[in-house]
Amino acid sequence: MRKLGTLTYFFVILISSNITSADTTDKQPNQIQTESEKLQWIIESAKNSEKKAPELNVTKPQKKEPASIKKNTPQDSKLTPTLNKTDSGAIEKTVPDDTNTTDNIQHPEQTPLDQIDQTIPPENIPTADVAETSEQPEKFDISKQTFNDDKEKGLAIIKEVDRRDTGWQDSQAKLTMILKNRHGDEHSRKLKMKIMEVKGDGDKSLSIFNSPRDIKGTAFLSFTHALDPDEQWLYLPAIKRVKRISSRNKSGPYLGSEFAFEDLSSFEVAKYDYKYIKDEIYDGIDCFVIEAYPLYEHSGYTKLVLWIDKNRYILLKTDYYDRKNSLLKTQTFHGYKQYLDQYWRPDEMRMVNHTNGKSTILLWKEYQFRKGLTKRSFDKNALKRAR
Amino acid sequence: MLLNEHDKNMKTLVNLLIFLLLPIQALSALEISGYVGVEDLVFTQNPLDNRQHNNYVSGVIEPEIYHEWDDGTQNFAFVPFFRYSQHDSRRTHFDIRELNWMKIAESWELRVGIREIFWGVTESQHLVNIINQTDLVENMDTEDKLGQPMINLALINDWGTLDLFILPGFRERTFPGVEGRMRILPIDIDNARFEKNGFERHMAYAFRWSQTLGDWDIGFSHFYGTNRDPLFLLDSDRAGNLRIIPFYEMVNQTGLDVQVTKDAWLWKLEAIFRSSKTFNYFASTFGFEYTFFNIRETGLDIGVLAEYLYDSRGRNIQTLFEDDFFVALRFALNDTQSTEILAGIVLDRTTSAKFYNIEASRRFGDSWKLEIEARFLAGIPKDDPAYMLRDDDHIRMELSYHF
Repeated sequence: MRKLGTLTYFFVILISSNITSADTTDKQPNQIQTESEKLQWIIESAKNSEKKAPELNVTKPQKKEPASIKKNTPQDSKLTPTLNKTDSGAIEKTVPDDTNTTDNIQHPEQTPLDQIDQTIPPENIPTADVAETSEQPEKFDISKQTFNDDKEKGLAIIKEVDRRDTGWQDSQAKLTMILKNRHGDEHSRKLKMKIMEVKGDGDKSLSIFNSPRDIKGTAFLSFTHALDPDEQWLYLPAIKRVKRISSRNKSGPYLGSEFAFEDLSSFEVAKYDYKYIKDEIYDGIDCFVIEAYPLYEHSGYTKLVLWIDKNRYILLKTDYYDRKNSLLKTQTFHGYKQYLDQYWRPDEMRMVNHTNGKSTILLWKEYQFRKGLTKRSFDKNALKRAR
Repeated sequence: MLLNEHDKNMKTLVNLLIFLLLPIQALSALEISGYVGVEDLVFTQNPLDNRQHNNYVSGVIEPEIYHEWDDGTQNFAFVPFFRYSQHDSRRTHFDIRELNWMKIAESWELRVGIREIFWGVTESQHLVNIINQTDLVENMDTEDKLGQPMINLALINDWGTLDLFILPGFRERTFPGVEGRMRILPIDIDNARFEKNGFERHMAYAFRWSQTLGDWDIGFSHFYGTNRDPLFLLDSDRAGNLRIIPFYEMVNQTGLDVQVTKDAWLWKLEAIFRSSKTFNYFASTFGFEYTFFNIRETGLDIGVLAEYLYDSRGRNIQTLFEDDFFVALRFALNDTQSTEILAGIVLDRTTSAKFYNIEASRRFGDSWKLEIEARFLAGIPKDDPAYMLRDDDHIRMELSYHF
């Protein structure tokens, strides 16, 4: 019975650590019945996680992790002409897609009076207005250009998507993955992702797993290349071992989810051939529909069909066609917000697998940009101590 | 599922307790994680020594307390470990796996305290991995290590990472006790002998240079100090009972580890040259791992592993793998439960002795994990050191809760 004291002590450790890992929201995803409850839950979690009061359109200083800008000029100012204006602080604009909520707004550290957050109700997104208010570079006008064929037009649109998403230098975010099977069973994974832009090559990324707890501390380092094989290392904390792994596994599931490794690796224009198909209204938004054909080896897909917002040049939906050219999966992007006055990031991505009835939801939060990450943040030493 | 229900109940309980324990949590910005587990170790044959048993139940806990500050450029980690085992008093053991502080700068990292270091690339054995002592009583697969005190300065440059180590405090290997299995005679650790005593016994020094050059990951290392691998001396005590005494020599070991990653192939090589008063020898493990990824779009990966194990000392009482082949299959289902199976055989080319090893693991719910290991020996000749384990075929099952 002498052991009892020790055991009690261990039990206390067990409980208190559970608290550290427990969700801040009362409601778990598996208790949620309807779509609106689901959205409410997502909003609540976002609010709770940012410890923010739900006031509407109120600008106030936010201490916790704003998407602040360092005062360094972008390396290529031609590519990002609006960035110099934003030195005083970042603004974020919320354009809700399928929600009527207007309280999910992030507040910058110091927002000048003339840069108050704007929230535009979804039914009246006059597309030209959005472009105007967000002060996007508008030198690119697809209607004023002529193309020899739809391939050229598709490539031009993708290049514009890529151009507008260049210059953020580095970013990091927290990610919750919710895996659902056809019986409604749910499992979640929590991880942190850090990404660094590499000029003239693919991005470097580091994913750090926090849950399930048995793989806590496991980390995945990837140097993406457009057509050359990626370089990848995995750190296994239980045996302190860094393993170089084969990057051939493009089509395999990422952490048991419906996302394949290739769905989450960084986007490079040169990875695909493109073809413009048509214009189409998707979810009330005017879109280009473009097909992308993977050029890299070992892709699990014959083609991807992309719905790209004509005004913001961001991806709203992707259909994935498998090697037999039948529709395998559909990915949709929700809750886009703008960071550093330029870069759009979704709060949520949903992937539905049409063949096995499983789906995966990715909830992104606490996006941060330009935190001064260097190549040292993406080496094997960093991999071993990643948290 | 039952375990899911349990998880939900745990969460509710935790939510209730948050209000009570919130002040405690606020006080400590420490991150606490780790696991507790119960293990059953079952031997399928009767023991050679009637003091040994056929079934051992044990419990284990390994919490981790972690804190980082200074924008993540400094951190502290504390990982104590404790296993309580039925019957075998030597297997009931406590260790500090980690207790260290780390400072991170752009071109260097300084790590001071008790840590564990892994070097190497092969799967069947880890020749170059010499920094930490093996915790053999924890698991005979030699993958578990005792915490090693160290000062480690890593210099990080474009030409690679150079790790410099000062290793004060020698740790002796752990062995099963009188009532434990996987021994022929109890190893008399109380009478362990050393080539050097005092300060010299306790100090070791090492460096390792490592670099990635395209598809190549290369490591080159040297170690000087008390050998982590003891030699075994047969002796008799005053009463005339035979006993085995570990003898720790001073060694110089130079090691090379290389992995070439080409498409789905991993080509691996580890080689060491080790010199001491008793032996100057060369040993190497080399081979490949080829993986068939995402077979028929099911997510299943099957890896084929083959390695050759060589030791220039040849057939010798001190070495198990002198001319052996290792082949194995690795199954990774990549499912929600992260189910994995590794099944392998080590085959001695000269004696045809076989060592079978199967390891499987699967998660249940979000926090539970079940691991099963089975190890069997067949055809061991009398003059092989593994002969002492001929009746120690066993299955090990561990169920753990991760927090």
